[in-house]
Amino acid sequence: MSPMTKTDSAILEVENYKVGFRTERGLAKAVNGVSFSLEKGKTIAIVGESGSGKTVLNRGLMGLLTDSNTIEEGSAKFMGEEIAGLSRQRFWGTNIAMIFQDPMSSLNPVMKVGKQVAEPLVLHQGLTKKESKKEVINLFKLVGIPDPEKRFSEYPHQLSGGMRQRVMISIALAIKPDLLIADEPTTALDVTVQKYILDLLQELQDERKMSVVLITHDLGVARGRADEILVMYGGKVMEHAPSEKIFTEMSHPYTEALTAAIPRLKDPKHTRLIPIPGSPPDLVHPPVGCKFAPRCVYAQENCINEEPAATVKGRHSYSCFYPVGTEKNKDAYQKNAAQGHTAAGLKISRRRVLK
Amino acid sequence: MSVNKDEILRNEVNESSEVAEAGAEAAKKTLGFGFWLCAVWLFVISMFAILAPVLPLKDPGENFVQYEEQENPLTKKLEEQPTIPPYSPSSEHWFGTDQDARDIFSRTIYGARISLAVGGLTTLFGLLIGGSLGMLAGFLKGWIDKLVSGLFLLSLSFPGLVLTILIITILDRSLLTISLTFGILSIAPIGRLARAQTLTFSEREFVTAATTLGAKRSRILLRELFPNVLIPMITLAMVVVAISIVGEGTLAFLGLSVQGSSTWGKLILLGADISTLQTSPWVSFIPMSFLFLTVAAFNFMSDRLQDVFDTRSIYVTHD
Amino acid sequence: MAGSGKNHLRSESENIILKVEDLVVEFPSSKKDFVHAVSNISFDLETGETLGIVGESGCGKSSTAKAIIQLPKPKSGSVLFKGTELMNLAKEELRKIRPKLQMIYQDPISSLNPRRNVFEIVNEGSKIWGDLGQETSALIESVGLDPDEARTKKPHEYSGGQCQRISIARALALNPQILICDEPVSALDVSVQARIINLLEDMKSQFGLTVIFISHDLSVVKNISDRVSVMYLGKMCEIGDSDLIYEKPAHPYTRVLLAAIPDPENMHSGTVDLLEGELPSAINPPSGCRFRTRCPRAEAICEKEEPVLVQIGNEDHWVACHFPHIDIELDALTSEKGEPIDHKTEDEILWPPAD
Repeated sequence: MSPMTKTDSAILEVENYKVGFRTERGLAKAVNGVSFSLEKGKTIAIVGESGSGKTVLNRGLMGLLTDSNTIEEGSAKFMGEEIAGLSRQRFWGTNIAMIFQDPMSSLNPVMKVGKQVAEPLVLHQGLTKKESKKEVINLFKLVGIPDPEKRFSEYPHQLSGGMRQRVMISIALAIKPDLLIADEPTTALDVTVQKYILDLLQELQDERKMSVVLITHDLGVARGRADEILVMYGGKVMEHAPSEKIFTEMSHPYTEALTAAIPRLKDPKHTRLIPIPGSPPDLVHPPVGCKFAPRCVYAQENCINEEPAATVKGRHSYSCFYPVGTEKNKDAYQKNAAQGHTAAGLKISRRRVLK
Repeated sequence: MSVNKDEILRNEVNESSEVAEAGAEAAKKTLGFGFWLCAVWLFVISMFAILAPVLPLKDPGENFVQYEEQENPLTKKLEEQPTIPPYSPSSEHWFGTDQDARDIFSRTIYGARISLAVGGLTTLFGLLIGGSLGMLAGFLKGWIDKLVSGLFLLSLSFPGLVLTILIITILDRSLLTISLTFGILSIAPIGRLARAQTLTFSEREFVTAATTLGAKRSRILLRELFPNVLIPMITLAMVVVAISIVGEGTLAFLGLSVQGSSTWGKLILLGADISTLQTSPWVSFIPMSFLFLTVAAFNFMSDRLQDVFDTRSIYVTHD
Repeated sequence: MAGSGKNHLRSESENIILKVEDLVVEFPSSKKDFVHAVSNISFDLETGETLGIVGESGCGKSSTAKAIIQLPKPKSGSVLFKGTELMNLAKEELRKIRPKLQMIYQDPISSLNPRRNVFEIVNEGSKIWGDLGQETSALIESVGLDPDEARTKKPHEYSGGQCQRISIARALALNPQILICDEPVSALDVSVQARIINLLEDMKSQFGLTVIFISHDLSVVKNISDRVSVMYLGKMCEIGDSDLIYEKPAHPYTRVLLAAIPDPENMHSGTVDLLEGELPSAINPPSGCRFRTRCPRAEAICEKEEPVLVQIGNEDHWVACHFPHIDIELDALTSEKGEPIDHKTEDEILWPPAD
């Protein structure tokens, strides 16, 4: 169940959404029951690593899972209408726009960029060629592309990465979307360009009351740009928190582990980073019980046998028996440290860390 | 630093999570049953061809005229009269006989010797010369590349069949000449592929890494580039074999095939007149089937190899 | 063209293992133009030091790395490795010196030969040079992989992080003295990054390496480096001790870079405005200071005269700017409460070892 109260202004409602892929080894449960809802004008960030299911979830929301070997279950509604399982044709009637990580591969290399942005305008909004060109130039100005008239007739390879991403954003905005799904839009870009693009998206969002789903692997970006953060692992949601609380009140061990693995600016040089032991779970035969248990330092017997239900505290929810910051959590750790290993067999020892 | 056992156990796990992330793309591609079926066919036919002289085959040149008792209209007596070949397939002749009562099965096997030899020699020549030239051109670049590419271009501009006919007419129609001619024609296609693949792989970081390690250029060419370029070359080579076998067939129809021995092409030609096709189709049909199956097998195997060993679809861990 | 000066070279030191002077790297572009990838930079390395080189796309950091190992040979300059001038070496002599300068590449999988098994790949060094004192099995184990498995597995059967470890093992097999890492963790997941960084640190102390670490990820560079150099459009803007540069960045470009990092505890956030404009062309870079077209502090002199690296105070901190931020009292960055950041706090934390 979604921890958020479903209101009428919920633009995206995902309920127990699942996606599986038929592989030679069996059914890979890439997305294994994700639920959340997004309100109008808000941003939700979905954070996870490889194998977490965030990309697959994203593709599902974008209606891009059309392979016959893909199975979708559960419900994903956009403005009250089911998008899961929607055919490509019908999908394009909706008001969802998307931008991807690699603008070079998302743009047609042999078509001028202006034309690529104009196409949806001509096809879906029935503008004439002249009208669409004018609109495109406006869009280019909006996203901060200098010399828009000149750029209109250029090819993707003539533009820098940041420019191409801006072109992608203008394509996305051309249809005046209510929902924008951005899949790692700035990962391939320089940090200054990243800031510019994210600032731009935020500005446009405020102006147009657009809702945004932002996929990223960077918790820092999520914290800074989103209203809510969904932390995914092994196809499930580990923690769903309002972004201001994600660092101060983090509850799930995975979120904690993720944070400990990242070098922080305020740490002195040569601070030992703490990687997450183990590897991502087998999606065909996922662990019974908590999916993160095999790699969790707090893991106890019940973590391995039972899957923790979501604990909901207002707008913050997490799925863990021994959430970070609680007495139970400290006890669990002490117990594991004393016996030298977790219930899953992960070895533990002491280590001094500079905080 | 000791080995993390948890990690080792989860090696298998890693692969499948990337499978899911990459969508429905199959993690492991196998060559498939069809591939091995073709391989078996080719093996069998090659073995038969090589071992033909020692196999219990009927003499391909002998005329197995059959007799039966017929009444002589003049003397009104029963006499042994020869029946008119070609004889249809029977327990005596599995694939029947041709118009001169020669056993088709045996002739087909003996024909395979020449046809397959043409295919093999051609491709061997093309691979050795074309492959080497192509790899050198792609690796060394500079003027060598310009020279070799120019030669390739020249070779590709010649109409193959016309050239073959010319050479055959001037020289002779031996197995060696025909194979060499085809071989020369195959240098350019194989060479071009080798060159392109070498160029592509030279750009890859593992080649730079080898240079950084201190490997000599010859070592890089042989140990790093060659194993990677080999598979695409073999894939093309198989197609070349198929084409040259068919090419021999074409020459046979022009009456220009290997002198002296029978080949599949010649055998097909022998049975290819209207009346024989109508009354005794097996004369042509049997060698034609063998040719078709062999050529199809090569093409199919080539296809499967390309599919499975396409190293361009390598995925990197998502950042 | 005037260089950024050599005041920052530590000529009195006895421990200099690598000295690069006036390095120029140029690539032919279309027709008669040249891309000025690296224009006259100089720096040195002390034995056992880690120098981080940061900068955004097009700054020339990768070109610098490749130029050091002469792949390809830079247009001009001097690369002095332990007294030997690499620029003048004949082909065969250069080849003999190569084992001492090894490199780790950005794309983990494509830096390994897909047709060979991993054991062979790591063993390649000893095949070329004979016994160098490193046992291949032991090396593979020391990077956390199973040597027996390595004999039968090919690179595509390993994950990105594991491939990078194989690369590291391969490099270490040659007993190098300098290890150049060109964006080694950019293509990896966050938790895997941590593991590789830790591995590099451990290998560095175990093998007594000197490291050059190139990355666009400023947090990672800060963590792993002793000294840092900031590059922009082929020039070096700032170089010095990493703590100093990250706390008190003097060059306007460095300030912009640091301010853009999406770390929620980034003390530089909001200290500068967004960077204006686009990266100028590397074919026709701006005269004088190359950053002047986007610099909020640019004046007339910046166009005429290229700034030289000068020392700030008495510390290992050098900046090439006519108007650097050196008012330490005014510009010092403090924590939110107005207290200077104290890095000496220690906390004992019990944690599992990751490798």
